[in-house]
Amino acid sequence: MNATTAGPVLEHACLQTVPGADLSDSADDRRGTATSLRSVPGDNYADWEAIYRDNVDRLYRMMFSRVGNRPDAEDLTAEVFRAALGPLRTSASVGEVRAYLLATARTVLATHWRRRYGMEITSIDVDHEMTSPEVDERPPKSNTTQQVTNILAGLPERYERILQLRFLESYSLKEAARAMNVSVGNAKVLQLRALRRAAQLMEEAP
Amino acid sequence: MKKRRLSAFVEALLQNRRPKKFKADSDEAGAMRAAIELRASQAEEASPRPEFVADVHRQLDRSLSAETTAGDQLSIRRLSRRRVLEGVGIAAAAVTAGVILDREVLDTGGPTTSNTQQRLVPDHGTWQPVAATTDLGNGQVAPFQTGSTVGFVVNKGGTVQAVSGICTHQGCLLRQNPTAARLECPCHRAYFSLDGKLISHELSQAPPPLPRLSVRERDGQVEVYTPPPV
Repeated sequence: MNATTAGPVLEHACLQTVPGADLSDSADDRRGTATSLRSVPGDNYADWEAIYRDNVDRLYRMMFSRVGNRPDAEDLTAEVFRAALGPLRTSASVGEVRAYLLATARTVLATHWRRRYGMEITSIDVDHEMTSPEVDERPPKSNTTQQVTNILAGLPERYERILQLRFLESYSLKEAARAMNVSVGNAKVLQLRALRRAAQLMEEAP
Repeated sequence: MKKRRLSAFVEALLQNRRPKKFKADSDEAGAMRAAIELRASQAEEASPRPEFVADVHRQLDRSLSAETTAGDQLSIRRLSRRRVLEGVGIAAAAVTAGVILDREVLDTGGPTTSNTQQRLVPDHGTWQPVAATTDLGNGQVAPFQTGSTVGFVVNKGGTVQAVSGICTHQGCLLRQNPTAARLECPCHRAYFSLDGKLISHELSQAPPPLPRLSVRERDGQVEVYTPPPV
Protein backbone atom coordinates (compact mmCIF):
# COMPACT_ATOMS: atom_id res chain seq x y z
CA MET A 1 0.00 0.00 0.00
CA ASN A 2 1.43 3.38 -0.87
CA ALA A 3 0.86 6.77 0.59
CA THR A 4 -1.85 7.81 -1.83
CA THR A 5 -4.00 4.89 -0.86
CA ALA A 6 -3.47 5.20 2.85
CA GLY A 7 -5.55 2.55 4.44
CA PRO A 8 -8.62 2.95 6.49
CA VAL A 9 -8.33 4.74 9.73
CA LEU A 10 -9.08 2.16 12.27
CA GLU A 11 -10.58 4.40 14.81
CA HIS A 12 -14.17 4.12 15.81
CA ALA A 13 -15.15 6.64 18.39
CA CYS A 14 -18.51 5.17 19.27
CA LEU A 15 -17.59 1.55 19.61
CA GLN A 16 -19.35 0.00 22.53
CA THR A 17 -18.29 -3.29 23.93
CA VAL A 18 -19.28 -5.29 26.90
CA PRO A 19 -16.45 -4.74 29.35
CA GLY A 20 -14.12 -7.67 29.40
CA ALA A 21 -15.85 -9.35 26.50
CA ASP A 22 -13.90 -11.93 24.60
CA LEU A 23 -12.55 -10.12 21.58
CA SER A 24 -12.57 -13.13 19.31
CA ASP A 25 -16.21 -13.70 18.83
CA SER A 26 -16.03 -16.67 16.53
CA ALA A 27 -13.70 -18.89 14.60
CA ASP A 28 -14.57 -16.90 11.49
CA ASP A 29 -13.35 -13.74 13.11
CA ARG A 30 -10.15 -15.37 14.08
CA ARG A 31 -9.33 -16.16 10.50
CA GLY A 32 -9.41 -12.48 9.60
CA THR A 33 -6.15 -10.62 9.84
CA ALA A 34 -5.35 -7.00 10.17
CA THR A 35 -4.49 -6.80 6.50
CA SER A 36 -8.19 -6.87 5.71
CA LEU A 37 -9.03 -4.16 8.21
CA ARG A 38 -12.12 -2.33 7.12
CA SER A 39 -12.93 1.28 7.54
CA VAL A 40 -15.90 1.97 9.73
CA PRO A 41 -18.74 3.78 8.03
CA GLY A 42 -21.45 5.69 9.81
CA ASP A 43 -20.77 8.86 11.65
CA ASN A 44 -17.05 9.08 11.18
CA TYR A 45 -14.77 9.57 8.23
CA ALA A 46 -12.26 6.83 7.53
CA ASP A 47 -9.33 9.19 6.87
CA TRP A 48 -8.43 12.60 5.47
CA GLU A 49 -9.04 11.35 1.96
CA ALA A 50 -12.60 10.47 2.85
CA ILE A 51 -13.05 13.94 4.33
CA TYR A 52 -11.63 15.46 1.19
CA ARG A 53 -13.66 13.39 -1.25
CA ASP A 54 -16.88 13.98 0.62
CA ASN A 55 -16.45 17.73 0.99
CA VAL A 56 -14.42 19.06 -1.93
CA ASP A 57 -17.37 19.39 -4.28
CA ARG A 58 -19.57 21.04 -1.69
CA LEU A 59 -16.87 23.47 -0.60
CA TYR A 60 -15.87 24.40 -4.12
CA ARG A 61 -19.50 25.12 -5.05
CA MET A 62 -19.92 27.22 -1.98
CA MET A 63 -16.74 29.18 -2.73
CA PHE A 64 -17.72 29.62 -6.36
CA SER A 65 -21.08 31.00 -5.33
CA ARG A 66 -19.27 33.52 -3.11
CA VAL A 67 -16.53 34.68 -5.50
CA GLY A 68 -18.06 34.03 -8.93
CA ASN A 69 -14.87 32.98 -10.73
CA ARG A 70 -12.97 29.73 -11.02
CA PRO A 71 -9.37 30.75 -10.20
CA ASP A 72 -10.37 32.29 -6.88
CA ALA A 73 -12.82 29.50 -6.05
CA GLU A 74 -10.08 26.92 -6.65
CA ASP A 75 -7.44 28.75 -4.62
CA LEU A 76 -9.75 29.32 -1.69
CA THR A 77 -11.05 25.74 -1.67
CA ALA A 78 -7.50 24.37 -1.66
CA GLU A 79 -6.58 26.78 1.12
CA VAL A 80 -9.45 25.57 3.29
CA PHE A 81 -8.32 21.97 3.02
CA ARG A 82 -4.65 22.83 3.58
CA ALA A 83 -5.51 24.74 6.71
CA ALA A 84 -8.13 22.35 8.06
CA LEU A 85 -6.91 18.84 7.39
CA GLY A 86 -3.80 18.93 9.54
CA PRO A 87 -5.52 19.68 12.84
CA LEU A 88 -8.59 17.58 12.01
CA ARG A 89 -8.93 14.20 13.63
CA THR A 90 -10.88 11.61 11.78
CA SER A 91 -12.39 10.67 15.10
CA ALA A 92 -14.57 13.77 14.83
CA SER A 93 -18.06 13.08 13.55
CA VAL A 94 -19.10 13.98 10.02
CA GLY A 95 -21.10 16.92 11.37
CA GLU A 96 -18.17 18.23 13.39
CA VAL A 97 -15.81 17.90 10.44
CA ARG A 98 -18.20 19.82 8.22
CA ALA A 99 -18.75 22.52 10.81
CA TYR A 100 -14.99 22.87 11.13
CA LEU A 101 -14.45 23.05 7.37
CA LEU A 102 -17.19 25.66 7.11
CA ALA A 103 -15.72 27.72 9.91
CA THR A 104 -12.34 27.56 8.20
CA ALA A 105 -13.92 28.44 4.85
CA ARG A 106 -15.59 31.44 6.40
CA THR A 107 -12.30 32.78 7.71
CA VAL A 108 -10.46 32.03 4.48
CA LEU A 109 -13.11 33.87 2.45
CA ALA A 110 -13.22 36.86 4.80
CA THR A 111 -9.42 37.16 4.65
CA HIS A 112 -9.51 36.93 0.88
CA TRP A 113 -11.97 39.81 0.56
CA ARG A 114 -10.24 42.05 3.04
CA ARG A 115 -6.90 41.51 1.36
CA ARG A 116 -8.25 42.02 -2.14
CA TYR A 117 -10.83 44.81 -1.73
CA GLY A 118 -10.45 46.07 1.82
CA MET A 119 -13.88 44.85 2.83
CA GLU A 120 -15.96 41.71 2.86
CA ILE A 121 -17.99 41.44 -0.31
CA THR A 122 -19.70 38.12 0.43
CA SER A 123 -19.63 35.84 3.45
CA ILE A 124 -20.49 32.38 4.67
CA ASP A 125 -23.19 31.95 7.25
CA VAL A 126 -22.06 28.81 9.03
CA ASP A 127 -25.31 28.22 10.89
CA HIS A 128 -27.32 28.62 7.74
CA GLU A 129 -25.05 26.33 5.75
CA MET A 130 -25.19 23.65 8.41
CA THR A 131 -28.97 23.61 8.56
CA SER A 132 -29.77 24.11 4.89
CA PRO A 133 -30.21 21.09 2.64
CA GLU A 134 -27.01 19.65 1.28
CA VAL A 135 -25.86 21.56 -1.75
CA ASP A 136 -25.08 18.46 -3.75
CA GLU A 137 -28.44 16.91 -3.05
CA ARG A 138 -30.58 19.63 -4.41
CA PRO A 139 -30.96 20.04 -8.14
CA PRO A 140 -28.35 22.42 -9.49
CA LYS A 141 -29.46 25.95 -10.29
CA SER A 142 -32.71 25.66 -8.34
CA ASN A 143 -32.21 27.98 -5.38
CA THR A 144 -29.84 30.52 -6.79
CA THR A 145 -31.60 30.82 -10.07
CA GLN A 146 -34.95 31.29 -8.39
CA GLN A 147 -33.56 34.18 -6.40
CA VAL A 148 -31.84 35.59 -9.44
CA THR A 149 -35.03 35.27 -11.48
CA ASN A 150 -36.95 37.13 -8.79
CA ILE A 151 -34.40 39.89 -8.67
CA LEU A 152 -34.24 40.27 -12.42
CA ALA A 153 -38.04 40.40 -12.56
CA GLY A 154 -38.03 43.25 -10.04
CA LEU A 155 -35.76 45.45 -12.20
CA PRO A 156 -36.77 48.05 -14.78
CA GLU A 157 -36.96 46.40 -18.16
CA ARG A 158 -33.70 47.68 -19.65
CA TYR A 159 -31.75 46.77 -16.52
CA GLU A 160 -33.23 43.31 -16.58
CA ARG A 161 -32.39 42.95 -20.26
CA ILE A 162 -28.73 43.92 -19.97
CA LEU A 163 -28.11 41.60 -17.02
CA GLN A 164 -30.02 38.80 -18.71
CA LEU A 165 -27.91 39.15 -21.86
CA ARG A 166 -24.61 39.47 -20.12
CA PHE A 167 -24.90 37.05 -17.20
CA LEU A 168 -27.40 34.46 -18.32
CA GLU A 169 -26.83 34.46 -22.06
CA SER A 170 -23.11 35.21 -22.08
CA TYR A 171 -23.28 38.11 -24.51
CA SER A 172 -20.15 40.21 -24.76
CA LEU A 173 -20.54 43.88 -24.02
CA LYS A 174 -20.42 44.64 -27.74
CA GLU A 175 -23.05 42.02 -28.56
CA ALA A 176 -25.30 43.19 -25.75
CA ALA A 177 -24.96 46.80 -26.91
CA ARG A 178 -25.91 45.80 -30.44
CA ALA A 179 -28.88 43.74 -29.24
CA MET A 180 -30.14 46.69 -27.20
CA ASN A 181 -29.34 49.21 -29.87
CA VAL A 182 -27.10 51.36 -27.69
CA SER A 183 -23.40 52.24 -27.74
CA VAL A 184 -20.89 50.07 -25.90
CA GLY A 185 -20.30 52.93 -23.47
CA ASN A 186 -24.00 53.13 -22.74
CA ALA A 187 -24.26 49.39 -22.30
CA LYS A 188 -21.43 49.57 -19.77
CA VAL A 189 -23.15 52.31 -17.78
CA LEU A 190 -26.47 50.51 -18.00
CA GLN A 191 -24.87 47.34 -16.73
CA LEU A 192 -23.37 49.02 -13.66
CA ARG A 193 -26.60 50.82 -12.83
CA ALA A 194 -28.49 47.57 -13.20
CA LEU A 195 -26.07 45.84 -10.84
CA ARG A 196 -26.43 48.60 -8.24
CA ARG A 197 -30.20 48.35 -8.45
CA ALA A 198 -30.04 44.57 -8.24
CA ALA A 199 -27.84 44.92 -5.14
CA GLN A 200 -30.53 47.03 -3.50
CA LEU A 201 -33.17 44.42 -4.31
CA MET A 202 -30.97 41.68 -2.91
CA GLU A 203 -30.57 43.56 0.32
CA GLU A 204 -34.30 44.01 0.61
CA ALA A 205 -34.97 40.35 -0.21
CA PRO A 206 -35.10 38.03 2.81
CA MET B 1 -12.16 55.44 -12.38
CA LYS B 2 -14.68 53.71 -10.14
CA LYS B 3 -16.75 52.75 -13.14
CA ARG B 4 -13.76 51.37 -14.92
CA ARG B 5 -12.60 49.11 -12.11
CA LEU B 6 -16.10 47.88 -11.44
CA SER B 7 -16.58 47.10 -15.12
CA ALA B 8 -13.26 45.29 -15.12
CA PHE B 9 -14.42 43.25 -12.13
CA VAL B 10 -17.60 42.26 -13.98
CA GLU B 11 -15.67 41.37 -17.14
CA ALA B 12 -13.28 39.20 -15.13
CA LEU B 13 -16.15 37.26 -13.59
CA LEU B 14 -17.85 36.78 -16.93
CA GLN B 15 -14.63 35.50 -18.47
CA ASN B 16 -13.84 33.32 -15.47
CA ARG B 17 -10.68 35.24 -14.68
CA ARG B 18 -9.39 36.40 -11.34
CA PRO B 19 -10.51 40.03 -10.87
CA LYS B 20 -7.89 42.64 -9.97
CA LYS B 21 -7.62 43.99 -6.49
CA PHE B 22 -8.64 47.51 -5.51
CA LYS B 23 -9.98 49.33 -2.50
CA ALA B 24 -13.73 49.05 -2.76
CA ASP B 25 -16.39 51.26 -1.20
CA SER B 26 -19.75 50.02 -0.01
CA ASP B 27 -21.54 51.12 -3.16
CA GLU B 28 -19.16 49.10 -5.28
CA ALA B 29 -19.37 46.18 -2.85
CA GLY B 30 -23.11 45.92 -3.46
CA ALA B 31 -22.69 45.87 -7.23
CA MET B 32 -19.89 43.31 -6.93
CA ARG B 33 -22.10 41.13 -4.76
CA ALA B 34 -24.90 41.33 -7.31
CA ALA B 35 -22.51 40.44 -10.11
CA ILE B 36 -21.23 37.43 -8.15
CA GLU B 37 -24.74 36.25 -7.42
CA LEU B 38 -25.76 36.52 -11.07
CA ARG B 39 -22.59 34.86 -12.23
CA ALA B 40 -22.87 32.00 -9.73
CA SER B 41 -26.39 31.22 -10.84
CA GLN B 42 -24.93 29.79 -14.03
CA ALA B 43 -24.28 26.31 -12.75
CA GLU B 44 -22.02 25.00 -15.54
CA GLU B 45 -19.06 26.64 -13.88
CA ALA B 46 -20.10 25.78 -10.37
CA SER B 47 -18.62 22.27 -10.16
CA PRO B 48 -14.92 21.76 -9.53
CA ARG B 49 -12.77 20.60 -12.45
CA PRO B 50 -11.61 16.98 -12.00
CA GLU B 51 -8.00 18.09 -12.60
CA PHE B 52 -8.31 20.57 -9.76
CA VAL B 53 -9.73 17.93 -7.40
CA ALA B 54 -6.86 15.58 -8.29
CA ASP B 55 -4.20 18.30 -7.94
CA VAL B 56 -5.28 19.34 -4.48
CA HIS B 57 -5.49 15.71 -3.47
CA ARG B 58 -1.86 15.26 -4.52
CA GLN B 59 -0.72 18.38 -2.68
CA LEU B 60 -2.49 17.34 0.49
CA ASP B 61 -1.12 13.84 0.26
CA ARG B 62 2.41 15.21 -0.05
CA SER B 63 2.14 17.62 2.84
CA LEU B 64 0.29 15.25 5.14
CA SER B 65 2.72 12.41 4.56
CA ALA B 66 5.77 14.70 4.77
CA GLU B 67 4.58 15.52 8.23
CA THR B 68 4.79 11.93 9.38
CA THR B 69 8.14 11.15 7.78
CA ALA B 70 10.41 10.64 10.71
CA GLY B 71 13.90 12.06 10.29
CA ASP B 72 12.86 14.74 7.86
CA GLN B 73 13.17 17.33 10.59
CA LEU B 74 13.44 20.29 8.28
CA SER B 75 10.18 19.64 6.55
CA ILE B 76 8.48 18.91 9.84
CA ARG B 77 9.68 22.22 11.23
CA ARG B 78 8.60 24.09 8.16
CA LEU B 79 5.19 22.49 8.29
CA SER B 80 4.72 23.19 11.93
CA ARG B 81 5.59 26.79 11.37
CA ARG B 82 3.05 27.03 8.62
CA ARG B 83 0.59 25.22 10.80
CA VAL B 84 1.14 27.75 13.55
CA LEU B 85 0.56 30.60 11.13
CA GLU B 86 -2.57 28.96 9.80
CA GLY B 87 -3.64 28.18 13.32
CA VAL B 88 -4.33 31.84 13.96
CA GLY B 89 -6.94 31.90 11.21
CA ILE B 90 -8.40 28.63 12.34
CA ALA B 91 -8.74 29.77 15.90
CA ALA B 92 -10.48 32.89 14.65
CA ALA B 93 -12.77 30.77 12.50
CA ALA B 94 -13.61 28.63 15.46
CA VAL B 95 -14.49 31.57 17.61
CA THR B 96 -16.65 33.31 15.05
CA ALA B 97 -18.48 30.13 14.23
CA GLY B 98 -18.96 29.11 17.80
CA VAL B 99 -17.07 25.93 17.07
CA ILE B 100 -14.73 24.82 19.76
CA LEU B 101 -11.85 22.92 18.35
CA ASP B 102 -10.78 21.37 21.54
CA ARG B 103 -10.57 17.68 21.99
CA GLU B 104 -13.75 17.67 24.02
CA VAL B 105 -15.74 18.71 21.01
CA LEU B 106 -13.83 16.65 18.52
CA ASP B 107 -14.51 13.88 20.92
CA THR B 108 -18.02 12.51 20.83
CA GLY B 109 -19.24 15.25 23.12
CA GLY B 110 -21.17 14.92 26.32
CA PRO B 111 -20.25 16.15 29.73
CA THR B 112 -16.80 15.55 31.08
CA THR B 113 -17.25 13.34 34.04
CA SER B 114 -15.04 10.71 35.52
CA ASN B 115 -17.07 8.11 33.63
CA THR B 116 -16.54 9.68 30.22
CA GLN B 117 -13.81 8.21 28.16
CA GLN B 118 -11.45 10.99 27.09
CA ARG B 119 -9.49 11.15 23.91
CA LEU B 120 -5.82 11.92 24.12
CA VAL B 121 -5.19 14.39 21.29
CA PRO B 122 -1.90 16.24 21.65
CA ASP B 123 -1.76 19.84 20.42
CA HIS B 124 1.30 18.96 18.39
CA GLY B 125 1.58 15.32 17.51
CA THR B 126 2.82 13.02 14.81
CA TRP B 127 1.74 9.63 13.58
CA GLN B 128 4.07 7.00 14.97
CA PRO B 129 4.14 3.39 13.77
CA VAL B 130 3.60 1.02 16.68
CA ALA B 131 2.92 -2.37 15.11
CA ALA B 132 2.83 -4.09 11.74
CA THR B 133 -0.73 -4.65 10.59
CA THR B 134 0.07 -8.28 9.89
CA ASP B 135 1.08 -8.76 13.53
CA LEU B 136 -2.27 -7.53 14.73
CA GLY B 137 -4.80 -10.09 13.63
CA ASN B 138 -8.38 -10.04 14.74
CA GLY B 139 -8.64 -10.22 18.50
CA GLN B 140 -4.96 -9.53 19.04
CA VAL B 141 -3.49 -6.93 21.35
CA ALA B 142 -0.06 -5.31 21.17
CA PRO B 143 1.54 -3.07 23.77
CA PHE B 144 3.38 -0.05 22.39
CA GLN B 145 5.72 2.58 23.64
CA THR B 146 6.59 5.80 21.81
CA GLY B 147 8.95 8.45 23.13
CA SER B 148 6.05 10.09 24.94
CA THR B 149 3.25 7.61 25.50
CA VAL B 150 2.63 3.98 26.34
CA GLY B 151 -0.48 2.08 25.45
CA PHE B 152 -2.12 -0.85 23.75
CA VAL B 153 -3.49 -1.31 20.27
CA VAL B 154 -6.15 -3.91 19.75
CA ASN B 155 -7.82 -5.28 16.66
CA LYS B 156 -11.43 -6.01 17.35
CA GLY B 157 -13.23 -7.45 14.39
CA GLY B 158 -11.17 -5.42 11.93
CA THR B 159 -11.42 -2.18 13.85
CA VAL B 160 -8.25 -1.15 15.61
CA GLN B 161 -8.29 0.99 18.70
CA ALA B 162 -5.56 2.42 20.87
CA VAL B 163 -5.79 3.18 24.56
CA SER B 164 -3.37 4.69 27.02
CA GLY B 165 -1.45 2.13 29.08
CA ILE B 166 -1.33 4.19 32.26
CA CYS B 167 -3.74 3.56 35.10
CA THR B 168 -5.98 6.57 35.66
CA HIS B 169 -5.85 6.03 39.41
CA GLN B 170 -2.24 6.79 40.30
CA GLY B 171 -0.31 6.40 37.08
CA CYS B 172 1.11 2.89 37.28
CA LEU B 173 1.84 1.13 33.99
CA LEU B 174 -0.91 -1.33 33.10
CA ARG B 175 -0.15 -4.83 31.96
CA GLN B 176 -2.13 -7.07 29.73
CA ASN B 177 -3.74 -10.21 31.08
CA PRO B 178 -3.74 -12.41 27.98
CA THR B 179 -6.11 -15.02 29.35
CA ALA B 180 -8.75 -12.61 30.63
CA ALA B 181 -8.45 -10.11 27.71
CA ARG B 182 -8.10 -7.16 30.04
CA LEU B 183 -5.59 -4.61 31.30
CA GLU B 184 -4.62 -4.75 34.94
CA CYS B 185 -3.02 -2.27 37.26
CA PRO B 186 -0.10 -3.73 39.20
CA CYS B 187 -0.50 -1.20 42.04
CA HIS B 188 -4.11 -1.60 43.11
CA ARG B 189 -6.96 -3.75 41.98
CA ALA B 190 -8.26 -1.94 38.94
CA TYR B 191 -9.16 -3.69 35.69
CA PHE B 192 -9.87 -2.17 32.32
CA SER B 193 -11.25 -3.71 29.15
CA LEU B 194 -9.05 -3.62 26.06
CA ASP B 195 -10.98 -0.60 24.82
CA GLY B 196 -10.24 1.25 28.02
CA LYS B 197 -13.46 0.95 29.98
CA LEU B 198 -13.35 0.24 33.67
CA ILE B 199 -14.35 -3.35 34.41
CA SER B 200 -13.94 -3.43 38.15
CA HIS B 201 -11.92 -1.90 40.99
CA GLU B 202 -11.56 -1.98 44.73
CA LEU B 203 -10.89 1.68 45.27
CA SER B 204 -13.00 4.16 47.18
CA GLN B 205 -13.74 6.05 43.98
CA ALA B 206 -13.94 4.64 40.47
CA PRO B 207 -10.98 5.72 38.33
CA PRO B 208 -11.94 7.19 34.92
CA PRO B 209 -11.71 5.04 31.80
CA LEU B 210 -8.42 5.00 29.90
CA PRO B 211 -8.01 7.79 27.35
CA ARG B 212 -8.14 6.66 23.75
CA LEU B 213 -5.62 7.64 21.11
CA SER B 214 -6.23 8.27 17.43
CA VAL B 215 -5.03 5.37 15.35
CA ARG B 216 -4.77 4.60 11.67
CA GLU B 217 -3.27 2.06 9.31
CA ARG B 218 -0.77 3.20 6.72
CA ASP B 219 1.72 1.31 4.57
CA GLY B 220 1.16 -1.88 6.51
CA GLN B 221 1.78 -0.18 9.84
CA VAL B 222 -0.60 0.63 12.63
CA GLU B 223 0.13 4.22 13.66
CA VAL B 224 -0.98 6.22 16.68
CA TYR B 225 -1.08 9.98 16.98
CA THR B 226 1.21 10.96 19.83
CA PRO B 227 3.15 13.97 21.09
CA PRO B 228 6.82 14.29 20.11
CA PRO B 229 9.29 12.27 22.22
CA VAL B 230 10.29 13.83 25.52
